Amino acid sequence: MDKRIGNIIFLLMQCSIMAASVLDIQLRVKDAQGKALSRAVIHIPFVVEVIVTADDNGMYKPMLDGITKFHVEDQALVSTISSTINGVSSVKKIYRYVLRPDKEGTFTIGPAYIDYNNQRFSSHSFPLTVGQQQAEDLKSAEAFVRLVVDKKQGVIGEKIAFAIRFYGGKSATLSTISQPELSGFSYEPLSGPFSGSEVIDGVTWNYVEWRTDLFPKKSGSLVIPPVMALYQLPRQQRSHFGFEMIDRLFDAGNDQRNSYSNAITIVVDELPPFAGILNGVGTFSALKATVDHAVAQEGEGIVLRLTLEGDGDLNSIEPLPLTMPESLKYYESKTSIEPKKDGRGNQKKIFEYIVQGVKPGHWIIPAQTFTYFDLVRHRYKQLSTDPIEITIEASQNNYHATAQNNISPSLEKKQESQESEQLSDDSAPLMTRGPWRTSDQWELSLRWFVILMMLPILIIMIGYGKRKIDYYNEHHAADVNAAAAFKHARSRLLKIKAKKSTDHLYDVFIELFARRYKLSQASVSHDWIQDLLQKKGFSEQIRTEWDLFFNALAEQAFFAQGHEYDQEQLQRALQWLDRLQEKL
Amino acid sequence: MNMRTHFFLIISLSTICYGINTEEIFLQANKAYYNQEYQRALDLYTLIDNKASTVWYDMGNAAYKLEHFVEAMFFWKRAQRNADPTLMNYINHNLELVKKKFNHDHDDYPTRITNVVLYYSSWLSLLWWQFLFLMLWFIVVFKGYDLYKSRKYWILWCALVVLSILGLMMCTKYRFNNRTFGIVKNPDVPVYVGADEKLSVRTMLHTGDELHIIEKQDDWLKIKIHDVVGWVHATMIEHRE
Repeated sequence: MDKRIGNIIFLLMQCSIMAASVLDIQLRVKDAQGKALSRAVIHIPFVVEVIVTADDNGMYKPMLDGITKFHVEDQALVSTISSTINGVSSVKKIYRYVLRPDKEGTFTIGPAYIDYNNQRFSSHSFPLTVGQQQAEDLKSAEAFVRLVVDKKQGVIGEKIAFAIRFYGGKSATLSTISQPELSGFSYEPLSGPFSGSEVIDGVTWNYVEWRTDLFPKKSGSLVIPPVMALYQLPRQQRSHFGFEMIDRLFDAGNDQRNSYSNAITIVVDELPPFAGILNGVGTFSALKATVDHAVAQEGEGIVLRLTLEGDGDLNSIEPLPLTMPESLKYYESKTSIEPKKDGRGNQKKIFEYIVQGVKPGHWIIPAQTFTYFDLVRHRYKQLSTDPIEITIEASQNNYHATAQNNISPSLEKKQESQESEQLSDDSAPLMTRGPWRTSDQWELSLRWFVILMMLPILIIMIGYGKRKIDYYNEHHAADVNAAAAFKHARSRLLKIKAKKSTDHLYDVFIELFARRYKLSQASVSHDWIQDLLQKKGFSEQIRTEWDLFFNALAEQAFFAQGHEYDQEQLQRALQWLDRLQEKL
Repeated sequence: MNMRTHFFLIISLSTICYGINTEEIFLQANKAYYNQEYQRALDLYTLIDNKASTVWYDMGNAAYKLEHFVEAMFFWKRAQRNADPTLMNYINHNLELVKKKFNHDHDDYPTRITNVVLYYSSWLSLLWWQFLFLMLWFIVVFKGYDLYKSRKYWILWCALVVLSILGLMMCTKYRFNNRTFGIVKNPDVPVYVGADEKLSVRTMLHTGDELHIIEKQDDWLKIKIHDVVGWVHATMIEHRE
């Protein structure tokens, strides 16, 4: 029994080994995120994976039916995995195809197959519906990218505003965005990013965008394929094994995702038939011509500047061919574009030419024209400059050379004489009267002139200052007198102290009152002082003391014999001076 | 006669003799000019010391006849200093002629305005302009405040306008009387950043361009023209010390 079971197991193992030697092919269809795909969006690439499992490492490249209906963006062997189980080796290879559907409809992808040893190994086939992007596609997205144009139909050369917008929530961070394929258009490099917000199906999305203007160069349906944005989202699920710290050290904790934008098809019509030279398409307002100088010598360069103002593909407008008389020749010099001022108004394109006179004379640079297709009125229009008159003079060197080379000496002399006559008629006559020697011209030097100019200002300032001083004196005369009188009296007392003679103390006080109240000394009497002290509020007792003190001074002044020095009297005088100063 | 009388007689006679001599040269030069001996006339005019505007003007005429246009322009420009209005008219007329020779047909607006102001400033001498200006200045300073207080604004405004005009005339006259200028002789004269031909060129001057001479250093002139300051070789410029 045991032997039978062992034989059955051996047979099964043999069968499994036999099965492993057979090729196995599987087919998977995924979107850019790696999710299984049942419905594709037109112009947005998707991924087809063909997984081949074989028992050896042979070169079994699979064939895939149905991919010719798509644009193959990429195909490659992306993975080879070798494994050995129970001594049996096998190899698993993954071939990846990136396909872009450019048509709507239902298509069949597959089967994938390999012909090996006259035997075909094949996978199942996969039905795929391709349609337009639907609102549901965006609702589930964390971020997406869109191509935006302001119009989907125009004519050759018409301006179409184009933008790439990346819409993302707070968690999505844009890593990079692929460059759009803008074949068939003339355009400036994208500018940006600019930010904004937009409500899509009731959801407010913030976006960043890059803009430019497109100018179709040919007619037909011009497709702008989708662009791919790579962005990052925070990873939802982290390690379950308690190694978050280590994870964070080596991993930013973000998942990288990609998103494809929509594609745009712009229908470009031919311009209406026109017999003539067309210079541009757009809306243009003015064509002006200027020259840097209107008079030049033969061969001297005059810079002619044509300024075209308006809105259109200024980069594509070639320098205008000029209409010029035979006597003038021109060369194209340089062109430049003056951008809009503060984003307003129109751009200007400036064409510079060098114009040279071949023959002397007065010549006219005729009106120059610019023919364009007006996008507002949808008809051809023409702008013209004003004619410019210029004068070309014979070169002085040439003139003298011609005169010297071609004219005989006698004729030359005659010509000079004629010229001299002509000059004589032109120039003003000789001054035969009037001073022939300059007389001394009197004039004020700059220094004196400035001093005299400043003089009235100085006078006014002095007058103003004087008025101010007078005003002050008028309103503060009493205080000034008092201060001065007491100061004078004190200095006299100090002198008395120095001389050690108190005979003149009486005079000091008389002079003090006279100075203080601007009186003559004769007017200051004993009674007058008494009245004054009473008026000033001195008490009866103090006035009595003053009487005693002042009488003593008078006696000493009038009846003293010789020089006397009474130090106590001097001290009292100083004290009285202080007392009086307080109230007078 | 005492010593003092002798001294005054000698001084007076020598001055008269000098005057007669100068007048004689002037008359001879005029005669040579009318006989179309322009070079002789120019030489004779050059002999006169302390030339008045009239002489400078006549020198310009003689140089013009000799087709020395740069020299003529220089002499006429020099004659503008202290010229009377009649002479100024003649000078302006002749300058227009000579500018055509240099293709300077169109003066820019600042030059035109300066010429007009210069013409009217020739009506009076600088001293008179200074005197009138100072008189009006005194009146404005002393009476301006009173006029303002009494609300006689129009009188004040008139006074200020006249004062500005007088100031403009005076400044123009002063500038022309005290300037040192030169005229470019050659067609393309480089203006160097320093007094050395190896240095870089700042701008090019053309025949007939008038420039202000700031200083002289050996054979080089430091000049200013249209706010450009640089150095040019003195031989390229018509100027007088």
